[in-house]
Amino acid sequence: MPDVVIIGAGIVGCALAARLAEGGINVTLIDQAEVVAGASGANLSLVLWGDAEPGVSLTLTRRAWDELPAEIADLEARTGLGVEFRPIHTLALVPDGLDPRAVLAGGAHLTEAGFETELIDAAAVRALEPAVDLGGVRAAVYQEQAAINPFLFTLAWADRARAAGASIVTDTRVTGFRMDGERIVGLETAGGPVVGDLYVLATGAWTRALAMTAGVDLPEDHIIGQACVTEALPPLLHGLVGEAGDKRVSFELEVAARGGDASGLRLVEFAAIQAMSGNLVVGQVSHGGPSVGEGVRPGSLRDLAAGLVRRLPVARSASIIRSWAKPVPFTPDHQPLIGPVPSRPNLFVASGLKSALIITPLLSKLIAGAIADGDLGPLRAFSPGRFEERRLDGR
Amino acid sequence: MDDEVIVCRCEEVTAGEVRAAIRAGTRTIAAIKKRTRAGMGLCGGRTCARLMARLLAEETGLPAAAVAPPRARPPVRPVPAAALAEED
Ligand SMILES: Cc1cc2nc3c(=O)[nH]c(=O)nc-3n(C[C@H](O)[C@H](O)[C@H](O)COP(=O)(O)OP(=O)(O)OC[C@H]3O[C@@H](n4cnc5c(N)ncnc54)[C@H](O)[C@@H]3O)c2cc1C
Repeated sequence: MPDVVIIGAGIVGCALAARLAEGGINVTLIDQAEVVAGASGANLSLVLWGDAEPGVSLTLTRRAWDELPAEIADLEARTGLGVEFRPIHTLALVPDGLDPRAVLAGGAHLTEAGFETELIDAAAVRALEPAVDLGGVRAAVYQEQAAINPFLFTLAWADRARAAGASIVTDTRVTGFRMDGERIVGLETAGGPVVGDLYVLATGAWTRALAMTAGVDLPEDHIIGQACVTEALPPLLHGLVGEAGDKRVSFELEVAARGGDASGLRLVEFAAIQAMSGNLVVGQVSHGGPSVGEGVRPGSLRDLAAGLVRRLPVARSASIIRSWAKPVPFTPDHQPLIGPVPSRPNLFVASGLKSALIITPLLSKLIAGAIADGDLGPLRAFSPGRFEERRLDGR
Repeated sequence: MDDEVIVCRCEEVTAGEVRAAIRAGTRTIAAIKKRTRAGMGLCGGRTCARLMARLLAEETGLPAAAVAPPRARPPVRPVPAAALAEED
């Protein structure tokens, strides 16, 4: 059994650490900050199947969704942490100018996988979410999905990893790799070298930058997602209310096409959900990278607040108490990057996930299996080897 | 500080809950916030950050300077949504 060093203590790194440690593998999990410092604590808390792309992603998402209640029950029983998993409806309001039938047809692959996606009219939306101001909207896409507390979900996996013997090292940034030819023989960190047999990049949107220090350029870019939260309010929203849009994919393509600096590009997609604590979480204004680590831009905070006031006028005097900006990765084909890097046999990537919350419990199990017996199985579809490799030494 | 003492009034988190989080491996104020919600309320942790720092120093033996409070994130003070929405 290899000794595994995982870099990145987000949902992916923590769940994988738990699975590997429970399989008897010696695991070290390292983060530059703390557990759940990246996108895993900065999201809208949705357990979403609505984003799954046709193909292997959808098959795995279906299986992940079916297994999730049992996985959550097991996680809570082992750790004693309640993760606030709950079914909710999601309503995507169809704005003027988009044809509701076309929006619905865009989800045909979901229906085929047994995920019910329906169009409902304005009266039905009002009955479900009386606080929402529809403006001129006449229809919405209705789906029964779920939500979870992303902090507690990630922390529970970290607790589980620790309980199984994994060692979690925080405040330790990995700055580079020690190489022996194509093999990695150690990590450089501020706290000194860290050595293992297999190195896993669970570094989310930071993956490309870190892989560069091992001499490979992975095809992954990122956008910066920004969101904010209000003070706790009485019950106001039952599920997620957002606006159906078709701009994310073209936005990402534009960001990728800009290469180095896409920070001038931005996208506003309104969505709001009420956490169990009563706070409204409001998303999402995104801009292009590379500015990882900066806070929310003032103009973005204004647009988030404006979206809230427009769609939920009863919340107009609610105080906005926090905001954040975190990078989310994406790849050219919108599928994750999972598997060994072809030219770096002991470097394994587990990154590029969009809706990580739903799929990570299953994915971590499959990745741990792949690491233990060297067979990627269905994950082969996500292997970095599907793209032509770009090595920095030009070979 | 007794376990029953409320450390964070906004979110009603007790010293006992903060201690339990520290014993589970939490080593920074930012991390305690994520686990317990202490400091996540309307006041933005203005009073409780100091108490959390004290508990952290007591439980871990870390020097007070090592348990730095987290960086403030905009808005620094709570602002009504409608007022933010109209800024230009
Ligand atoms: C505003 C917003 C809304 C979102 N909404 C949803 C949603 O509702 N549902 C959903 O499923 N997904 C959502 N997402 C996406 C989701 O949050 C991510 O897919 C997921 O968190 C990715 O997890 P991860 O573990 O791969 O990465 P991360 O959580 O980003 O973890 C990467 C970790 O690596 C560490 N790291 C990076 N570089 C180094 C280094 N050199 N050395 C040491 N450590 C390092 C970082 O500190 C970080 O902790 C949203 C994202 C955002 C920003």
